[in-house]
Amino acid sequence: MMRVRALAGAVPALLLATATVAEAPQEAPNTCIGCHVEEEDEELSAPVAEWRRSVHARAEVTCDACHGGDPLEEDEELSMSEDDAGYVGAPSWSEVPAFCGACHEEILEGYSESVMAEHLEEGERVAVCTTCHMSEGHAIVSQTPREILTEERCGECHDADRAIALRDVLEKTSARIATVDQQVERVRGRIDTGRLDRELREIRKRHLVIAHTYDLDRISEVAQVCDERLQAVTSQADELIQEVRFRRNLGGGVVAFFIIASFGALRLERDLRRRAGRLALLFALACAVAQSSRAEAPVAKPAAHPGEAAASEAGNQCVSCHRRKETLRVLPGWQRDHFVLWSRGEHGLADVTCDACHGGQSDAPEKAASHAGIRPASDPESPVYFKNLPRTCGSCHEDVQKAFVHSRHYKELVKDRLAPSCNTCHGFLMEIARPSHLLVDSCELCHNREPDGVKPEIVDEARRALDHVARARRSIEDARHTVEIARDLGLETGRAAKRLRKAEQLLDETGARWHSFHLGAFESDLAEIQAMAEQSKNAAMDAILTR
Amino acid sequence: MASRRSRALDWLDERTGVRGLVRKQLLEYLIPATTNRWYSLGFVLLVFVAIQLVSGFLLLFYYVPDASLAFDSIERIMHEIPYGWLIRLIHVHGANAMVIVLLLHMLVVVATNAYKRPRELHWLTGCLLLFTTLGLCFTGYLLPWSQLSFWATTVGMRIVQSVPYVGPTIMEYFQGGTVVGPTTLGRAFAFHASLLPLLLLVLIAVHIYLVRHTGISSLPGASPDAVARKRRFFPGFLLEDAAVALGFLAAFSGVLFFLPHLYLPPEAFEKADPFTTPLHVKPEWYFLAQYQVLRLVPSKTLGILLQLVAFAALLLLPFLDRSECRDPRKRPIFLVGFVIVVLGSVALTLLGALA
Repeated sequence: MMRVRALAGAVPALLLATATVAEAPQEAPNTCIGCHVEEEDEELSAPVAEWRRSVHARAEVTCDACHGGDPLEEDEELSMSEDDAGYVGAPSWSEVPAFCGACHEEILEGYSESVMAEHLEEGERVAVCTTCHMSEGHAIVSQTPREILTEERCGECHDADRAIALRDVLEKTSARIATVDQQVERVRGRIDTGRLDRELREIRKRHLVIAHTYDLDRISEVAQVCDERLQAVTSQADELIQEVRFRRNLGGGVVAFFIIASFGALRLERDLRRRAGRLALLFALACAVAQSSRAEAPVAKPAAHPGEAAASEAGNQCVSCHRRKETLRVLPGWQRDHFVLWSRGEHGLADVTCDACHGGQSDAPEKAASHAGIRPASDPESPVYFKNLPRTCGSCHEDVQKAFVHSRHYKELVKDRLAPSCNTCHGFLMEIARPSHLLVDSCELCHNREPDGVKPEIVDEARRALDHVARARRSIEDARHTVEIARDLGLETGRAAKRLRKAEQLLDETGARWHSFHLGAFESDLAEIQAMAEQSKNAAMDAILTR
Repeated sequence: MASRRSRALDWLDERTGVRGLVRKQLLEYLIPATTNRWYSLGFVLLVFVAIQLVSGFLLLFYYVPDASLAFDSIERIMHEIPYGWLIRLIHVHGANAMVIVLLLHMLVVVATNAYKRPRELHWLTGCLLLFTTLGLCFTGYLLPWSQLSFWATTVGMRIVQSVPYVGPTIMEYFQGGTVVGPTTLGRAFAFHASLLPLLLLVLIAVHIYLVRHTGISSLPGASPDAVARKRRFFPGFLLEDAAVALGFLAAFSGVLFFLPHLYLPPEAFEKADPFTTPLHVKPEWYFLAQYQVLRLVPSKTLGILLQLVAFAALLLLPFLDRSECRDPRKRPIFLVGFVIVVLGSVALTLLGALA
């Protein structure tokens, strides 16, 4: 147990350590940064600190991307070698646009179309990328037109009004792009915004490219086009917002449905278990019996039956509570049916009450106490679990159980296989004596001609044996009738009556012996009974005829 | 009406033996009474396989496996086809859910030592199912032809290339060249939409047959009495299976509708561009542990060999662990090893994700 606790403690520790290691800021090894950061000369070390605040640092664009050199070479000279490492150092003023344009190609395209580029080519020291974007050294950050196009900066060379006009147009488009971007952001990650993102990127690019031409007329013209395109993006973003709402509502419904269905399935499973495996057994064991039971089961509240009344009067709490209207109303239909079937069946008539089979305390008035120890029929520990029925029923029907334990059916049952138990032929509540054709129907559940059916000929043998029972019973009836006539005539019937009693006794015993399902032996017994009945009848008839 | 139905059933039964089949395989099917809800993960997996097959089939109506059209066809499915977005997201999230449930199922099998005699072949087919599922995920990842799929496949193929001796050949065969390109898409589609699903179904059939043949294992540590007790599969346990599957579907739908882009970063919505490498290219989460091992081990070949050994050990687990005892509480060394492997995998995945 200690080991398990120690392991349980180690889990969060290991995960925490993992997260800590992974989250620690990691900067790829870079000799430019490694050396410059340690330089005492501030002019050489400051760019590192500035760069770390810049958009370039965030995008992992390091010194070598602009200045060349080998950031992996530890030797200072080699890493800054023009031949081996392609070091280019700081560009001249006129080289700056091409330097930055190596990555920012479209911006360079726009700048190349500007008057500035023309003047730069002529050797004039006009504004280049660094003029506006590196006012704070290498800390190049994202800035708005208002922050870049200031009167002081532009006013050095240009008319301030023109700069302000340019700034206003650019500022308006930038602000509009930012607003639409925020709108799209509301649904980003919840729905595919790829198309809108691409469109926004296109608009932003076009806006930036044209901004670097510094041509007010062209910028105004493009601003109008951008505005129209932004309008379209806005309406598409609105549609996406609506769509996201719809999907969330739909999702809520679907999730709720699955949760309810999941609990519903569990509830149904519990309910089925409580139903004493009624359905499960129904499918496998006693379809025919169940059909006949349903046909006979009344659905209305039953009238008091002799057995039920007797049990109720005897203070049996199961009966007195389960027959109450209030109880019947709240009980599931199958329990009500069970009670009705019992009250009208053999057990009800014989006043064999629920506790005899199900257990529980039939004299306890409280529900909890009276139901103590009762298990559902699907519970293998329950006395009415189908495998336990022979023992439970056998506690009263000892002779039947004695015969049944010698049967093949019982041997299959104890081998944990599916095999007929008492209720297969006699119904769930042993409520009625079954006619022979229904009993044979039960045999056909297994003894049939289906691919996995066993010994289908047994059905005919069983039918013949049951017919033989009927014939033997008729013979006994005949013999009894003849003996009574002889007795009424005052004749001597001792031998005939003795034979008759023996035949009746044997027939009663044969009822139990049937349950060994040795049909050959059963038929021999019946033949003997029939012969005895015949002898009894003949003896009585002889006495009448020789009178 | 009933007799007509009965006659129809008789007709069918005479030709197919369906009654006997249903009775034997469903109504009379008994499972150990100790079987609990952890055993339902196999059924949940079947549900997700069915979801993947149906959603994949529907996606085939509109998806075009051509490098110049694939991304646009996905865009069309997502934006223009009615409820196309739902089908695609179900397929994307379903793939991840399949891997999660499969891993959970395998964890339960290992934790309960259910892979031992006579169930060694269950484990082998289960492992093959895992590899096939991962193969399906890998080949399916490329099909949208997005930046994410293109570059993740490129990284994956570089890993394959590092396998000693056979790596370069496998890579070239799968890629159809030296780099990931239109030919790779065609081959990935062929694997994803025909061979691998077929293999998956065959393996599932074999796996289920084996489970039916040997029976479901009982819980380790259960008393002989409890082990001997049986319960019916139908309808009780099937309903429990359904309840667990519906619970998983609720969680799945929650992710699907409320975190739809959990597995779809912004790069998944950009068309593949072989000339623009995204800033951070990583494989899918279920390959992150392996990816992290390759990052941590200095030699790529050694890293690959380590992983091959780990896969072989996983596959041959029932033959390596010969102990008769199935109760992990009585096997401290096994328990510690199991916890270390699970935590190690989680830690490597986290490291891979956060690095």
